Amino acid sequence: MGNVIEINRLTKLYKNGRGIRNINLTVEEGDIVGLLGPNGSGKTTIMKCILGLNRSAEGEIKVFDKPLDNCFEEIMREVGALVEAPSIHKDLSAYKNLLLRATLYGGVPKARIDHVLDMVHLLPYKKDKAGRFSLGMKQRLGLAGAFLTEPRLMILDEPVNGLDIEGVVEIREIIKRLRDERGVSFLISSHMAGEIEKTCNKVAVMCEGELIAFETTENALKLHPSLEDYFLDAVREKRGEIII
Amino acid sequence: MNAFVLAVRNEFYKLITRRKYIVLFAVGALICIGRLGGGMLISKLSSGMVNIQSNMPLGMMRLMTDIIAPLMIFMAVTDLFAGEIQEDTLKNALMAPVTRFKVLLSKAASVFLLCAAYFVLYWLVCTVLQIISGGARANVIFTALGAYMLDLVPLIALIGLAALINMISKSPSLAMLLCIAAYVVMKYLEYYVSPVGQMLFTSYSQWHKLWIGSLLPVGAMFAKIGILCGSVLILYTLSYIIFDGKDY
Repeated sequence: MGNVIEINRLTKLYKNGRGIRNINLTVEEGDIVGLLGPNGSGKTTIMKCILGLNRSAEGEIKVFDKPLDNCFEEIMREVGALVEAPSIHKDLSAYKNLLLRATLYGGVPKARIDHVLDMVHLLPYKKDKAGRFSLGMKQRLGLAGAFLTEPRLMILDEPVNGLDIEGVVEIREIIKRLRDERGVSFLISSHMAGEIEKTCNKVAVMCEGELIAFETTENALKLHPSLEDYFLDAVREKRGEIII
Repeated sequence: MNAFVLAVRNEFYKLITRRKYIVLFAVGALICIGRLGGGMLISKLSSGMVNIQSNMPLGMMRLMTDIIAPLMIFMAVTDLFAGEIQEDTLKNALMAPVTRFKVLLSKAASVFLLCAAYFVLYWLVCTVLQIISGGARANVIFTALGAYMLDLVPLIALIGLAALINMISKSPSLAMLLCIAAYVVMKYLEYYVSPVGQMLFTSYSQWHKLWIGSLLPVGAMFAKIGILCGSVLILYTLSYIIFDGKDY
């Protein structure tokens, strides 16, 4: 299996001294990799670097075996993303928001917009203004935007943020179905270990800007009762605390 | 389709879905109608002694080039840059298969297209009013259209100025305020500080005067073209350097 994302020695520091240091991470084709870490641990920064939203980072990022800096347009044609809060034009309807996004890619059939709205159960609200949506509905619309162009790689930052229990399960099922049926690879961030455990086949633990552990979920669960324990052990080990 | 063309379509779509640009156009059109009505009223009150029958499209041009178009440019550029940063929608364009260079140029190009649409529509409104009031001659009308098209050229630099101000502003309201303040200062210099004012691209808003009617000496024309090209180059280069280096 080829590498979809290959990150070597990635460092990005903000003016306040926070950021990420010396990150090495690989996402293989068909992987659902979960970035697990507390708020401010650098999960979103990694995603922003991969998506070209963060500049002046040191290190190397390759996506689909191509360097990000030189092949940005080519790479981004096959990447769908939702980073931080969904980017929504509040005055436009859900349908027009997606239509607007589709114009940036070209060749997205209008039927596809209805299809992705149906995927996230927003089809009945397609003509409603997105500004009037609840937090969960906005999140669904953001996810629909990420699914819109049938990407090979999806980068989702806290994808189930604001969703109700049913919504969380639905999104998890969509992610797994896309991986199984179309071989889509995912990089997902979350601070909820339970969510990563149920969705991802690999887990990367982030703490204070560093990637401190990377393992398949299966292996992590062989030695620990849950990913929560795996995460806590990794953090304690990093901090030099004694693990009993 | 080319990534740049797709990006321009995207940005232009964003602009035309905002009602304020239609309102601004309507205000300009109402001013034109008011001017015609006023002219007719004066003519009637003076029993035809005073007759205002100027070339309507050319007569309304300064209003368009010096007030309405700059206002529209400042609003549109602010919507597409500082406004999008505040609303967190700029990410959509930055994560799309378009380089930042093309994103910047596509935003500027879409504002320019909106300006062009405004100019054509104003020319149409003024032409219709001219026909209603009588005295419309084909050569005058089409010369006016040519003048409108030529006056679009210096607006490229004005869009660049607005883009640069948006790059350094932290909020849309501040960006809008700075754009207007910078423009007012430049216009003041144009009118009251003659040697400095002539070096500013804002003094070329009536660009058609270089080409239509009495032509300037070649040297003077080259100097003005050079100043305009230089301004465009500097403004867009600085805007790009700031835009490309930012984290979003």
